[in-house]
Amino acid sequence: MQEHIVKSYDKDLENLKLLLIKLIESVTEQMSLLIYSISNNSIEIASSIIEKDININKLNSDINLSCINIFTLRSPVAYDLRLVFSASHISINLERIGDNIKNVAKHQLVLSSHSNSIEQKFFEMMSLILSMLKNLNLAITTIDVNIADSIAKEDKNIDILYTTICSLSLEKMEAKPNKTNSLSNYLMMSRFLERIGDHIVTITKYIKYIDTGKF
Amino acid sequence: MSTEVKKITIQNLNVFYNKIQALFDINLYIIEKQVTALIGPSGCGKSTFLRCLNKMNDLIEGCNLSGSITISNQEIINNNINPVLVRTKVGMVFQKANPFIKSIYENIAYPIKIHGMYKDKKDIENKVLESLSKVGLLDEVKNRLHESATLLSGGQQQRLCIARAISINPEVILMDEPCSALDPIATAKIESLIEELSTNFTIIIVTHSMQQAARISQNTAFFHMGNLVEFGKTKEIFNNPKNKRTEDYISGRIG
Repeated sequence: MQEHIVKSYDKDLENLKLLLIKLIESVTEQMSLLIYSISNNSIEIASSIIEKDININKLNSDINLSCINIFTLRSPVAYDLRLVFSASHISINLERIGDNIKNVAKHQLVLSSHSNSIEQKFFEMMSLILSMLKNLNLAITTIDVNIADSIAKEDKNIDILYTTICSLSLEKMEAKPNKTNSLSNYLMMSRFLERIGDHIVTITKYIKYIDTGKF
Repeated sequence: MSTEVKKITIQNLNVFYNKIQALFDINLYIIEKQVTALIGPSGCGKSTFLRCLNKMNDLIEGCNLSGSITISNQEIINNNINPVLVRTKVGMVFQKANPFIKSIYENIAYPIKIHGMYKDKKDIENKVLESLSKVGLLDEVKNRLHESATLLSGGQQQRLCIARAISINPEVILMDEPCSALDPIATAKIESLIEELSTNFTIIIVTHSMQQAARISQNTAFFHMGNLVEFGKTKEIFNNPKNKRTEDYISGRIG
């Protein structure tokens, strides 16, 4: 993309992109910590995930403020318009992903007993989301439609894992009614992960829109 | 949904100033009762193009045109059509307001009389008042209709010129940067007026303000170095232009 005649305009857009990358990196880090926290049953790390969510909310506010400033002061058009409009929506979706990660961490704190088969599927789900988030970082940095497309396709596997966890949990609940509490926690946690998959798909649609101008 | 009717069709238009070619093989159509904005850097040919539409280039020595321009299916280049007749159908408003050094009233009554539209004094007066009312100027000037038009503010003078242009019932109105010398309030009034007038007239406007083109037009044509680079719906041009030169120009990049 050519430089703007007004150089400070380029700087504004560059700063916006940097903020967005910082946000996706923070969300990805939270997801890595979540996997570590659940693997090691660490109350401290789960608590730190919950505390750090405020930084993600702050970054989202900064990005939205930056978008409003660019709309007001630069009146962006064409690619610039699509970039700024999409940055705001991508940021909101990343913030929601952060909320879902925080919610899983909250439920981890009350997780009392484990079920190997469900746990295995749950870890598969978390690993897949982490890999999707890492690729999303690359897709946002390079505005690459092909990467965005391949990320979106992975959501189908998230949905399959979610359905599997639901059926496994229901089976176990019937067999061992005394474990219903713990199992319902897994159900809730996997529901949060499933929502993360949906937010990632929405973000890939905005990446596509930036590049092609079409939804 | 209203159907779009082509009011003006331009085919293979080439314009030369002596040996220098100013426009290269322009093909374009103008939709009836819509606003079409012409954008592009200085010297790109948009004003030259605008002047072709009411035969004003005929007044420039050494200016030669080839190709075809039809307005309501009437060819205006390749025949001996009377330029005055074309300009009756195609009015023009310029960058700088140019009222006659006459009273506000006479500024409008004069062209009505010259074109022989009405002879009866009462009919002329009605038409003057109607034209002033259409541009939202009547309430502002009704108590000083016989004062000199040059005493009006810049924005009022420009609206008076628009009133003068519409008083003789043209089909098309050409506007060459009509707001470039006006403050934001006067500009907003003209823009609002253009929107209202487009229900009855076909309007073509040259503007250097991208935001103005985006605000007021339904169609936009981007000219660069005498070529028509891109023409399409304004929403498409400003959201997702097809051509990289258009993208670079409208977003203020070095092209």
